[in-house]
Amino acid sequence: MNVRSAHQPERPAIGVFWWFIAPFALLTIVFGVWPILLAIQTSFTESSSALQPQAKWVGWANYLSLWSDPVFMQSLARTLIYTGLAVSSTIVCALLYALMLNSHWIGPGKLFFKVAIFLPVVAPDIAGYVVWRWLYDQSFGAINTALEALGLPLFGGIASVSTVLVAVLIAELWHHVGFYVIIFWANLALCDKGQSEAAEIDGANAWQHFWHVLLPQLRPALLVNSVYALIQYLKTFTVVAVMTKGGPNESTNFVSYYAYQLFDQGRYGEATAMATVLFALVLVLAGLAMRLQRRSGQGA
Amino acid sequence: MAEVHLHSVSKSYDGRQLAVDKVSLVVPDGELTVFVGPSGCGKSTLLRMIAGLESISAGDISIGGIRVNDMPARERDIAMVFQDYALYPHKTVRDNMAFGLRLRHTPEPEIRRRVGDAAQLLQIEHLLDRKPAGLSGGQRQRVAIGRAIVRQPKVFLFDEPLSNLDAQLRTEMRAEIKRLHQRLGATIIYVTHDQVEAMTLANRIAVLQAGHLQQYDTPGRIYREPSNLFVAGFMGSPPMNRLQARLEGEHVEWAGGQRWSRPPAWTPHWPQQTPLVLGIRPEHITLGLGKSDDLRGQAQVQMLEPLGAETLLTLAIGSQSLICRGPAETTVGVGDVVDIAMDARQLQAFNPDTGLRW
Repeated sequence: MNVRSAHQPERPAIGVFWWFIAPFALLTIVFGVWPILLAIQTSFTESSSALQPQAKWVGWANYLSLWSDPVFMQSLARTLIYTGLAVSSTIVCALLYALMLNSHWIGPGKLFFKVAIFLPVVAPDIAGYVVWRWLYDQSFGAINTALEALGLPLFGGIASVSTVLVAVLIAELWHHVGFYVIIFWANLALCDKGQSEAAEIDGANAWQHFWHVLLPQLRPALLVNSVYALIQYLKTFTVVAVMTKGGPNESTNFVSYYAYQLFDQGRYGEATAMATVLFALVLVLAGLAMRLQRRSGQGA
Repeated sequence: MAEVHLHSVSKSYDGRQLAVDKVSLVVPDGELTVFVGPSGCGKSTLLRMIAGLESISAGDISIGGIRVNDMPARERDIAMVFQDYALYPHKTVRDNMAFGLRLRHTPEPEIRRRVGDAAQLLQIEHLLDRKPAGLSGGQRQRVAIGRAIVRQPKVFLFDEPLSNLDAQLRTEMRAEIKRLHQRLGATIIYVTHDQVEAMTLANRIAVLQAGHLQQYDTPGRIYREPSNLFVAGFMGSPPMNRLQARLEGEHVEWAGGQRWSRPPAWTPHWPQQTPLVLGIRPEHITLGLGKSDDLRGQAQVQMLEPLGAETLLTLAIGSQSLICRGPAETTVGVGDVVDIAMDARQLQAFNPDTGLRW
């Protein structure tokens, strides 16, 4: 006789499991994995025949041509510098804003600050960047009008090579930082108040409290936010397409925008090779960031 | 070490909800004072006000003669042991204990010495390089106490430190804290809802209810001479029996009809022919005829609770119940009518309207 112990859990119904999983697995494969695989395949074919059924296989030729393309190498370096700058600015701004939301400093104005930071996240990005382009405009933009009225030096904005990266970054921070604030804020709500009180009694000032007590407890949010920001900024495209078209003088021509330009010129092989390099870069850096964060979490 | 003075200290939330109402007391230097009371009585709020973790709505608190009302917690020179330990999980035991000293820029050799001494005292030397996640509840509580000890503060504050431990460990840690106090001679304020903990640890006990200080005295006096019915019912396990009665000449008339003769030698100063609540501890009631100067009568056995070393008997005098302690091997059974004797000198009388002791 088959006797089951009272404590023995029943085996999950495997069939039901697959029926629930199948629609989403199918969507992921068709619209997520398959295009990536196709793009990788295309990157090994000649551009002129890349989209035809009998595409000509060229091996690593497209990748080698990227290696010898100075515009791509500059674009890659620019992308990495911008990503480093953007990730660190995003994390710092979001953390400071979340700490402000979590404090008693702003009193009853908390709701206003919450709405103010999250509205840009749900605003359409193209509309937002069009407005920022207008704000930065050298002739009739609000920023320079205000600076002029105050007698301050004008801001080059997206028209100057020296200021365009900062201008683009400000627009991106405006659009994205609210999302990261929410993650930090949720983590702050889970922080142990007892530890904060113990630190207060131990004699910690505000900075020591943040550094020794809060920050270690914010590791989960730091991990999620830095990996997500890394992925997002490595792929920066919309802000460039709307505000600068890669200029002035190629100074915002990031890898994804350069790949888009090549794609537009029918250079599918090189464009997809570029996209594949960016994809690999995202995977490696995100994996590295996760590993570093986890290791520091265990070591602390 | 230092004295702690509370003068008419109150705490209200939103200006209306009163958590602590005009509490005044002095915690003497080097003594262990316990704040005890049921949940929500304001004992933890009072402790947190002393710590500087809650603002003071009215009154004054001074530590070592210095008014600390507006002084931040970190400047009060106090150390606190929390109910949930509040250890820093990313730091080792050693770093947890050293944290407060490092913040105060204590030299490293001095930190090592103090941490080593405290670890030895608490027998946690072998745990110094571990993280709190790898410790049991009892070990964590020792670390939390160690973190307080190394600071050598003016006053130690303990906020229900044993509540999260199981019964056996709680008893062990209770004895440990008692030993520590005897060795350190520190001023300690200890909050608990457990009256056994209060009785065993305290030099003085402050009994609180609904934000009011009910009685502040030594454990012995609180047990023997509770100032009101609340203290009589809260302190002691089982608590003091409280029976409605009135003195009628040579008799005691219990509410519900029974009349017992008053022993001639017993002449209490309580008013005659007035409703009273008579209080007597279970250990002052004996089964049998007792002595001639006892208050004697009969009661019916309602329940027996054998505890091993003794048996608790729930008895009925008319419609009122009382508990007495009997021998472990008692021969009486439920439903039996038995002779009982109350030690008349131990009887207390309370005003049923005000609850205060006569």
